[in-house]
Amino acid sequence: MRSAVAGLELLEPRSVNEALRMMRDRGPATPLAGATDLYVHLNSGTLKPRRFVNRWALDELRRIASKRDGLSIGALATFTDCLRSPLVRRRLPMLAAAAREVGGVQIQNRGTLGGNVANASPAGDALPVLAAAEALVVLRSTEGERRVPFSAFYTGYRSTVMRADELIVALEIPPVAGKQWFRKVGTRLAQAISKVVIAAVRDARPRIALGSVGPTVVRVPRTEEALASGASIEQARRILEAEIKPIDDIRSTAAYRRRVAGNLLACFWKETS
Amino acid sequence: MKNGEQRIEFTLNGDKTSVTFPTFKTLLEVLREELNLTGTKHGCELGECGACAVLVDGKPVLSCLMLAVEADGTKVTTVEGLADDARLHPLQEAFADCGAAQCGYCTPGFLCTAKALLDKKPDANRREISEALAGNICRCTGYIQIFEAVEQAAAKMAVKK
Amino acid sequence: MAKRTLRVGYPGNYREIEVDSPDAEPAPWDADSKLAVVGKRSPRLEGADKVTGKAKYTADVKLQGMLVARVLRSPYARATARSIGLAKALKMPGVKAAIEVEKEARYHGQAIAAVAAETEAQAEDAVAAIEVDWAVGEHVVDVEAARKPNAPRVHGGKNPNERGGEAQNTATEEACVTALKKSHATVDITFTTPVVTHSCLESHGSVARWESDGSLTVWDSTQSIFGVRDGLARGFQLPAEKVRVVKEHMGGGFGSKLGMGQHSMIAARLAREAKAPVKLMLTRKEEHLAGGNRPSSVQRVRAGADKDGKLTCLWLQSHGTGGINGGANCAGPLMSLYNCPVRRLWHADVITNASPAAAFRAPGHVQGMFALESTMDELAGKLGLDPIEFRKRNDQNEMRQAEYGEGAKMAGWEARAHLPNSGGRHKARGLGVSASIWGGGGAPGAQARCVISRDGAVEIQCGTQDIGTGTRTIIAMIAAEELGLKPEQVLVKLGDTTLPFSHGSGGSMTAPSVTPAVRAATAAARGRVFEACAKSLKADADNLTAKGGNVVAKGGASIPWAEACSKIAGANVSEQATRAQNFRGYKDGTAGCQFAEVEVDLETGHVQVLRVVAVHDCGRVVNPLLAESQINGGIIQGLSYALLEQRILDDATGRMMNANFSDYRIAGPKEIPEISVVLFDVSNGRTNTGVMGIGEPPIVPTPAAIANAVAHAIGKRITDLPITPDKILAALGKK
Repeated sequence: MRSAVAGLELLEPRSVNEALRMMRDRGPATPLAGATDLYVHLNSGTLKPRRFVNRWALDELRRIASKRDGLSIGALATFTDCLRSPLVRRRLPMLAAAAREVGGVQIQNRGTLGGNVANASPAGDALPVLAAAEALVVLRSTEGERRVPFSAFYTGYRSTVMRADELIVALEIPPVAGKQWFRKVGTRLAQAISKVVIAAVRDARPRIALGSVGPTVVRVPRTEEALASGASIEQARRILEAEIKPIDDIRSTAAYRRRVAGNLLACFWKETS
Repeated sequence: MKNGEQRIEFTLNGDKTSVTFPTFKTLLEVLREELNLTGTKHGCELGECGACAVLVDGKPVLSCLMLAVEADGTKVTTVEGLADDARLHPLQEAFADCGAAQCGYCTPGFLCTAKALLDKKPDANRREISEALAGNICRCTGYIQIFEAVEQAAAKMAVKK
Repeated sequence: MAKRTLRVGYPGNYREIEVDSPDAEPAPWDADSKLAVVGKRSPRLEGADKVTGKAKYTADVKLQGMLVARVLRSPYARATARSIGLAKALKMPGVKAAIEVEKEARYHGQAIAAVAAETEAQAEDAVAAIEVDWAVGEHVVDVEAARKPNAPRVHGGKNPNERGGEAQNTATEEACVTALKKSHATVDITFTTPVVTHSCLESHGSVARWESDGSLTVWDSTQSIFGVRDGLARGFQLPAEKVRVVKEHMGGGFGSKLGMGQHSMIAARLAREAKAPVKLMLTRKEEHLAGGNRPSSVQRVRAGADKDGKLTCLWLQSHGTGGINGGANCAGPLMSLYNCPVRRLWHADVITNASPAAAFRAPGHVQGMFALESTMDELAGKLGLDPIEFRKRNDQNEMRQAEYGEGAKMAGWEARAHLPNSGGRHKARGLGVSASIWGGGGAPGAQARCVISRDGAVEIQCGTQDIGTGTRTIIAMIAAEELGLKPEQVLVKLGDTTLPFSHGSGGSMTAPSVTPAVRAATAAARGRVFEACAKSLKADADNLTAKGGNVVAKGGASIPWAEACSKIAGANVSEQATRAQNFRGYKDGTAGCQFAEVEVDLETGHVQVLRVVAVHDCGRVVNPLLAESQINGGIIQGLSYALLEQRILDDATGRMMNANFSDYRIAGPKEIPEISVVLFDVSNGRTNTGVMGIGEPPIVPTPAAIANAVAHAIGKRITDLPITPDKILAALGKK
């Protein structure tokens, strides 16, 4: 069942500044890019917004660049862009791994990193990577730019600190030292929503982030601390299983998610040792 | 052009095309309803089955999740544009020969997606093929003959070069 | 009737039998028949149309002035519409008709009202404007809850939610108890299987147009054009000849498109109301909500065997549901596959507030075989017998015995105890087997006409339908065989009720029902050509044959086919034939068996099927390319059923929670195992072609073979389908 389309409005800015003015003056408006999430809502009749700012054409937001020893990834970079970028593959291979797991190639060609962040699904495939990499979300409005640490970006289930007049313009990734690791366990091998997704960095200060085990993507500081202070993987695993708060839903059970999260933690630890 | 309508110009299967349509139509709807190219199919409209896959600037995308507006200025190829005049594309020949098109409903989406793969990676192996086609669903063939067809086409194209 | 001696059987095992076949029919093909076209790999005739986007499906039909319909469906599992207000919808832009369909909603997704408008968007907006005053009632969607005495009655009043009882000619409980007591080994296991939807890529749909003479033309995505015709004729109280149903290509059916669907009536009613053609294609969500399903099952199997590994008792107590029309009896395999002296069946269809079940590729057999063959492996384990050996001791079908041998060799059954393992202690491999059984012998009554023109053109007219299986191609092959031509020289007309009658395409019946009629009609028309050209060959018509594109006389003289046809007096010759009853031939039904090798990831519980070896028989194989395609497809649907698919209903609201493809998963390219197909070519002497169906047999054993492989891999049996990773980890957790 499609949503009624009679009252929908599409604004088409030609520049980022024009888009920002539209967000300020003609809001509430919803930014739209590849539409891989948004059009699902339109086609299934659950679309709530009525006015959209189409920023797919704003190529200036598509750049993937080196920033000091880290990365700056434009919000409109698609998963295919991330997957093919030598810079991403070299500096943030876990993002390339995550991009490969998003939908099928068709979705990878249209879905954007910024969209994955803005959509705020706890199952977003790239989000644990950004959390583990301690990315900064670069938000811009007509009033200027601000950088929000990824860990402070989500305030609850599908809610963020973004203001209605702001756009995500980029994700900045500080240099990541240590081995990176990513794994997604989905309802199927491809084109699937995750049941558990994990990204982790093996460093003196291990960083571990998980998706689909709570209302937002989560870091697990107690587990990280335990590993940093030399706890055994079995101890860390028990801490992790207590630290995450998965639920039963139509895709899987809380018990399964907890157990697989523990198993994946052990895999991470073994494979990066 | 009425209120709530858009007009775009793009290259469709090699031909300069302009078309006017209600703003919120998807590329899939505009192809099928405005341009009478019904080869591209509706399967789920939620981006989950790949039946509507077409090539935009050579890349496979799901036309059910793309506003037609965004095709402005692009090159779009649908299943109707794969053949070179009357000569079938090697993938089309192989799909027909190998029995890869059973009911045939998912075939156009598979063909477009496979073409993008072979354009980029002419020697794709079985694993790469299944990876590339992972966003497409077929309920009849069991996929085996689809994989074989892509492999056969790749072999044929390699010989031609 | 003519007595004919035929050599029947399968390679390595032939015998002669005598059959009675109708005088007018050509002599039945048997093991000695040397055929030029039949039996060869031959691509689909419509292949080029399907790969270029030219093939037209119902969804692609576009008529002058055509409107688009949309349906308002009940958001409640049980509710009564006190009123359905269409006035507001009728005033919306572009809306041309609106109708009430049903006031009593008994499941989430039941059609309540419908509108037709100039565009889809207008129709959707109009559906949203329909005003319904709902009185929400009590529902029950859980199969066990529905059986309770105080459960809400789905069909109201005193109608029970359960219809069941023991089967006729079935042993008593006491007899079973006694037999089990005396057995050397027994098992008592309860198996459960989910409700699954057909998930055809092209949804159900119709385009309806009323003609100026009051007749009705409908394009329909259907497996049964005559079924839709008769349904519409009844619905509108029209003579059947006043309804024409057309279906050129369709995007999958699998049983869900047998007979007329409600959408066809809705489209035709709206078209009559709007005085314009109307198209109604269901959305993916509607397809899940109301497009049919394979019912669930709860099967308690009690079974025993003696010291020699002979079954002593098979006792099935089952119930299940698809929705408002009940469940499916899944006792077929248990009641017929193995020899067993004591057999008992008790089954109940349970009625729930969910969408109605429909036939789905081997109805009942897929559920039943999973339970039976899981039971056989458990019993074999208790007896300390090899699973194949145990099966062979109880299976009298010589063909399946031979098939086990062939399959076991290919699957590496002997090395089963030492399967290699790619992932060290984090992965476990297993190899499992299951038998298959199905009918598929076809039915009398199908008709075909062969028209041969003076220019040599050959046309076969047959009111069957090609649902993707390749019917068009095999019809051409049968005719080409008779005429010594190539399949592409035969024009096949099907999918239109103005053509000679044929049955719906279900039950693996199409090829065995249609090919004998095609062959008989073609042979008769060929006879007329022979008569016309005999003189030019200076031979008797009886001494002519058609081969290699020529008509050839016994002495060796020959003329090209087209020249022979030029001797026809008048424009053409036309002969029609009706398929006869099956002869008493060699074998009824099909056997078959499958082997599955799986690898289980012990950390995530993921099951990857690595390889399936499928050994099947379907009488004479007309076209191995198409038959293998059916087998591959059946296996993957079986794999999908075993590991992924299930309809999830919310008990509290009665709504389906996964009416899409993202949460209702069907197997995709990455789930696909390597598949090896072995086809036993069997001459069965049951019709003039000896062809049997292969649509259903290949899905029957797959889930059981996979379940047995998983049990072999992890040492625990999962009795509840689908075998999802959480069940694997839960089973592994229980030490």
